[in-house]
Amino acid sequence: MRKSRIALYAFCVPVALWLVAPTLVVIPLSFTADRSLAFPPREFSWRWYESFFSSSQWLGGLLNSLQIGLLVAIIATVLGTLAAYGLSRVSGFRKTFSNSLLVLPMLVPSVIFGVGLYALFLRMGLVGTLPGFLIAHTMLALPYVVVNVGAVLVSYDRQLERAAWISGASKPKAFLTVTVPAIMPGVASGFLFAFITSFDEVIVSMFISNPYLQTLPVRMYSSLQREVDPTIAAAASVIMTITTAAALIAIFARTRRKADT
Amino acid sequence: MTTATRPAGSGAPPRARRGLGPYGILVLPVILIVVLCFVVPMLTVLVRAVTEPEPGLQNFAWLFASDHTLALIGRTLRLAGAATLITALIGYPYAYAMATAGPRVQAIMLLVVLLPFWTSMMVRTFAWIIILQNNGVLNAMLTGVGLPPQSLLYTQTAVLIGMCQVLMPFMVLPMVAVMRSIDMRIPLAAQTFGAPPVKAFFTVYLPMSLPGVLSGALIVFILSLGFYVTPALLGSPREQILPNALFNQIVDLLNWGQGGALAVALLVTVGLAFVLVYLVTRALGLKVNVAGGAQL
Amino acid sequence: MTNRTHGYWRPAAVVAAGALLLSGCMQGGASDAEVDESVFADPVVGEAPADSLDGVTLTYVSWGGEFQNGQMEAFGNPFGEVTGAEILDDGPTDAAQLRAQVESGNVAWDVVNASPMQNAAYCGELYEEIDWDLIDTSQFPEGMPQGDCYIASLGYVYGMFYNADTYGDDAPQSWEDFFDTERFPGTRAIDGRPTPTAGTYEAALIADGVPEDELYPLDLERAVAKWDSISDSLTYWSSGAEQTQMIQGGQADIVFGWSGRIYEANQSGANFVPVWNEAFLQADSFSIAKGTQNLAAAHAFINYALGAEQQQTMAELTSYSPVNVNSEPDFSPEAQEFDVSRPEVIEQTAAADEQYWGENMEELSTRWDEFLNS
Repeated sequence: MRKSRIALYAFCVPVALWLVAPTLVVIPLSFTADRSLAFPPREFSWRWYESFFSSSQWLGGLLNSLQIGLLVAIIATVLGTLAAYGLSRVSGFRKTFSNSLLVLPMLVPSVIFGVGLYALFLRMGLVGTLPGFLIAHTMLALPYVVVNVGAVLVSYDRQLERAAWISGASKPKAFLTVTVPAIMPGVASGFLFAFITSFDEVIVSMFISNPYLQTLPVRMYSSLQREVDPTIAAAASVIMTITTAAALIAIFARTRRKADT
Repeated sequence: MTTATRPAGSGAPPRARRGLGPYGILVLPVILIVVLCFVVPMLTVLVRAVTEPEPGLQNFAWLFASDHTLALIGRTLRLAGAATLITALIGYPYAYAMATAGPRVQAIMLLVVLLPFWTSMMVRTFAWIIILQNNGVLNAMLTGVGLPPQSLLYTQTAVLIGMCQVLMPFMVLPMVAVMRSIDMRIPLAAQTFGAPPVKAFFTVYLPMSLPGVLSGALIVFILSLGFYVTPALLGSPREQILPNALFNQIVDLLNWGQGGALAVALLVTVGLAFVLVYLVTRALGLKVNVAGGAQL
Repeated sequence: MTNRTHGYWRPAAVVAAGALLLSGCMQGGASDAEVDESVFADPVVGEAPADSLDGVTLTYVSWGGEFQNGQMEAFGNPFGEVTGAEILDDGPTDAAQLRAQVESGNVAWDVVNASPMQNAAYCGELYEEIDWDLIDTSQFPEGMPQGDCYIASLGYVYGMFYNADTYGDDAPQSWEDFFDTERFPGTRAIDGRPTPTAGTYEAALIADGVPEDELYPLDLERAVAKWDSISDSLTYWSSGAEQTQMIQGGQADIVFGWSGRIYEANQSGANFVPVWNEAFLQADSFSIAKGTQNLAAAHAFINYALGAEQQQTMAELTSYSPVNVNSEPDFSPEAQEFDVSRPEVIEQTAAADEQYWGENMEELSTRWDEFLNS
């Protein structure tokens, strides 16, 4: 290996550690016996996991987050895929305009969106409701679906679909049986992105939640504001396990797919 | 040309259709939902800036008259600029190593960049509190090797450490996407013609990778303008930035008018960043993909 | 070729849009029940007329979580059992939410556990003025916050707490000592929120020699200059949890903070000692949402909640101090030390004028925000 290459890797290894290692610190901390975030923990205990799984606020928050995340991923994937597919069939101003509008929620600081939504939801009684969360998170997740599906559609060969039409399939049927399988990788990434976007969202959720419907990130945020409670470390470890598993599955599926083609 | 082959390969509909066409049926409903559920709430914030407590521009007069709010905007821009610069400087060598590595190393490096991306923002921010607090992991390590302990938590440095970690994927992924498409034979050719490797890199490779850098920088800059959680939890109350001030005006002081004015300031800043990058890229003749970091 | 080309897309889009736009319904609402209000005259604290509120629905709003559960258990649910009213709990207390209700004329909240500063700031606007004929304050501790629109619902102290391991026998005992960084070196953690706790300016003015009875109107510039003079020794907390966290994390030697949070840090091994001298007595408050449909019932609720037994249970469940002179919560010795409702504590404390703070909140918070970000 050339010297410059070694130097390059010598730079990259600490960077990689900075990206991955710090987060792992929550795992040992979640087993502390003290009601303190001091590190390293002095004694081992399961008590914060007990606290997590026996608290309606923590466990309920996790279940809310999973439920909202899944529903949002489904709604955003359906809407986003339809929009991206429609956009792949038009061009010119309409395409540029619609594309810009659809990725807007990804770029506008979400604190502004949160404030605006809060004002409206207060009047409509949507604060702390499932429909409220679905509206908010779907808006934030939509751009990721549009971008990911759109990227796959660029290289999609439209002739396949036309061939299906010519053989007598209706357009919706051709779309579902020919196009959707072909663009599935993009749809799947979009779905995952949408789920993670919702599952991870804090700022807008803080505005639109109340003690009766809280997502896990909001619960974590208010815990950090209100009390020193290592249950948050147990919660963090649980989330990390879930999302890391999801990420590993996604990435391995992706490399397998690459290897197949 | 037969009618059977005519539609093939053409992106736009070949003839006028009955009804709405693919745009009207597929795209328009989604656009309407986005307008209703995203654009309208944003507009109400802007409207409140010029109607509360009474119609007029007094909230903007307040915004520009006060040193405090101007300092706020300046501080927000500086923080976003610093985050962009740091992620670019760290991200570029990383992206270069990744783009030019073998498939196995490349997969591992991708995993490393993506893992934090998939890990909850709250979890990562919480982890930094544990590490940076005075009797935390970092100081245990520092004093362990005989170095003086550092008081980092609740400082701007802590905010940057946490923010840049969150933002790295958005910088690295667009860079890698562009670098992968660079034909390595071109810088090599420059070397064959006698250019030293360093010169070949700066005159040939770097300009070719610039669209990736600009894409990454734009998205990182814009995202860091909107950061709320990291500054609120890791930063000092003495270094307030726009999103936090906005939150305070509206939630604590019920001041929708001044909060709205701050929201406009934040939006305009984001818009200006776009325009600036657009002008730069057009002057350089580059194509920048804003959504680069959002793809798997 | 079939004719049914476009039709299929529409339902899909409509269903998805419908799922998004599906709207929730308004919470709460007015009670239709007829209530004989004369039974609430001549109230006795801690008591409520039996079955006087059959069919009435009353909503109690607080900060949520275990804290609110404790309050419901101590007085919310028992009040419902005695009077026959159905007691709902909602939250968190949020002035923006209350304002939306008041402006829309659809007030779902009745009794609100808030902060005196908020009540004073929006008295008559978001909160009803309290009819003192309907509440018996004979057992209410003197010195606890009370105003036109509020009465304390629990007590705590905003004051200075020092690390006994750092200062030992020679410890700071007054605000003058707090600002004396030569005699008492060390990092002081103070309120870093843009809207600080009432007492933040007062402490600096007392240290600067202003007599306690001449504090108001506050000389903000003098107070800020005093704070600025020790800014090298200051660090800032921005939430209750951060006070506890800063003690446990070794970030501060002296904390100018809330007694409940310091007590929490001591519970997990810290050794911080309260200085009650010149500390500021603070409270959460009971208040009534402006335009409530259940004005008499809301007063009866507050009158009941202030009872000795109710306050005692509340204190034991939440570890805040009771606001009834006859309450004797069964505290551990450590908790006993932080019970600020004891007369010997109240005697030493100074008063921060919540009314003044509420009326001048905008100015007071803007100046503090500017100091923080200068």
